[in-house]
Amino acid sequence: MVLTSVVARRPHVLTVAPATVDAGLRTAVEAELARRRWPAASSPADTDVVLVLGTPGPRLADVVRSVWATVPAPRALVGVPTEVALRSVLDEAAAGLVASRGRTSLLSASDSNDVLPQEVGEPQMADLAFYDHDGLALDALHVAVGPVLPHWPAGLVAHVTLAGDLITDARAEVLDVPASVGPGSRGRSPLGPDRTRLDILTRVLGLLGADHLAARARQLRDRDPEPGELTTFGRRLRRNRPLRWALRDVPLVGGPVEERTLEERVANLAGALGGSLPPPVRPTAEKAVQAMVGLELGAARLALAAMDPDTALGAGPVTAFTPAEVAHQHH
Amino acid sequence: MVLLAPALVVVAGLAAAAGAATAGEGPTAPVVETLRLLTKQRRRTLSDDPALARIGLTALPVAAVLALAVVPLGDRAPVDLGVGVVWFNAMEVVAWFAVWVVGWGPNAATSLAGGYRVLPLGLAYELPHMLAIITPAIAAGSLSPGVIAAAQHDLWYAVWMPAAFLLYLLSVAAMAFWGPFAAPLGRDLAGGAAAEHAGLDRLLLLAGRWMLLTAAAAMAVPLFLGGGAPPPITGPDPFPGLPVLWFAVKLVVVLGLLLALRRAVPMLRMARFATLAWTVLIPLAVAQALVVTVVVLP
Repeated sequence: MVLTSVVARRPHVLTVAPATVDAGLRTAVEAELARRRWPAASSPADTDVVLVLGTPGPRLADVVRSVWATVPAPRALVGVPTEVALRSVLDEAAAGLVASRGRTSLLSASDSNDVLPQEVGEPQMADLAFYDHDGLALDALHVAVGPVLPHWPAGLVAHVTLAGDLITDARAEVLDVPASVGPGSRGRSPLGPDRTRLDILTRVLGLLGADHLAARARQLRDRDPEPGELTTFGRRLRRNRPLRWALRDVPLVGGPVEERTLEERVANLAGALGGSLPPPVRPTAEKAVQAMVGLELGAARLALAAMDPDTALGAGPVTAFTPAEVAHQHH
Repeated sequence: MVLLAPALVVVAGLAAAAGAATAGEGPTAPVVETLRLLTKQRRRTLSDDPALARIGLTALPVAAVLALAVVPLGDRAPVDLGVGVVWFNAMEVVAWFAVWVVGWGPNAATSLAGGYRVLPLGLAYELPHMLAIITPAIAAGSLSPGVIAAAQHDLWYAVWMPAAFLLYLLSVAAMAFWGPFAAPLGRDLAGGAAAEHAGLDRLLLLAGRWMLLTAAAAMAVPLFLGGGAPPPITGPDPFPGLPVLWFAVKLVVVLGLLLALRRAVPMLRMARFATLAWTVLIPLAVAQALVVTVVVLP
């Protein structure tokens, strides 16, 4: 059918990666998707192809299943275990989209984006919060944010309490990675210092909707740039006044002394490009998620992306996730 | 009048194509995207309110067409309303309602938070916007866009009141929750108010946004750029009897300025934009309106 083959030329791809995913595989996938001009899906509703990287553990596999149940047809689900298979897997996904004709029965009136067991009939009711921006007691909602979100750390789930759009409490869980692996692996940077910086900048700029800057950062990350190109790009970012202005007024609680705000963190990441400096500090998931408390959702997303927790270290000493405790939503 | 809706769809589609081209994608991307969303299944969520969401989704493109109806496309408007400026503003507030219920309908946290972002956005941009559209009305002594356009035969209001023109351009992007003001549909909320909508529902929302942007940009032509008349400096009209042509040229310029704005400024958090609006934009708008009022006072 002509119509579906046109659609398969530009499918929106939802990428799901476990915390332990190989950084090389993740960046190779992003580069290949950009080369094909396949946009990243913003949510399961916007998705044509679900792409699962590496080997997901049992908890992430559950999330993939529940997300897949809410992806509207035509759709395709494929796994990319290693970089070698990447291109053929993507071709296969496009072919799968053309072949996927019928409508899925999973998307009836009971369809949801939540990881709620089917027997949960009662909708989640909001509690009353004690604190808000204005001292008002608004409804408080317990929501699990992640792990399937654009520009979100791999495998991370932030269990947050929301009063309106303000995060009043948060704790981190990394799916399928046991608690903290000890300080030995801190400061590791599988991508190398400059590529790590560019990786973080790609996410922050992407969240900000500065698409052409994000695309440039990703390009520089995915090939071997001259040091001159890196310093030029860093200077361009530091001199971009609308960008600096948009990044202001977001504290990074628990960051290093010289990076106590989002603006300073991004300025340092950009300024260090091409300078043979040690890799940027990446906190544990727990520390980074704690920094979201007290921020509005949008600012919290920026803070988390800029801190870029190393989720492969695990979630630190927090209580294990218990699905029965409260109703959680995965997005 | 009958042709108004299809014409707006076509022009908004062309604007979206130009937008895709400036964002580094193929100019055919909006066409492919439209086909993709038309073949895509619609979608619901647990305990949702699909009727409410669909009222909002339908209201958005309808509001855009009704807003455009009072804009003189050339020499006269499809509906020549004496209080056209007020009608236009009322349609823009319908769009606030639309985005809000579109976010409310699906019963999901990110969607709801996205819909609610329309409120701080509206509170921040609406006052400078109202002052910006009332300033040309004061100068022309009329609320009819046709009369305002005709009053500019000597000097465009974009030149005579540049601050009001720039504020109006900003508010065009803001009322279409687009570009720097896309926070209600922000990527940080997985698409915000759009997060749970698929297929035709999503198409109505995204296309409605481009239609609203185009309709609001079209209003800048009679308010600030002299409507269908040629620029005052060119002397005799080289294309007499073709005011639609001049209107189209000016609309392209306004849309070009908006695309440049989107490229230059990243998405603003609502707290940031509210600060800017209340400390800079509103005082600027008041000062501009005051200057114009004092000058035209008999």
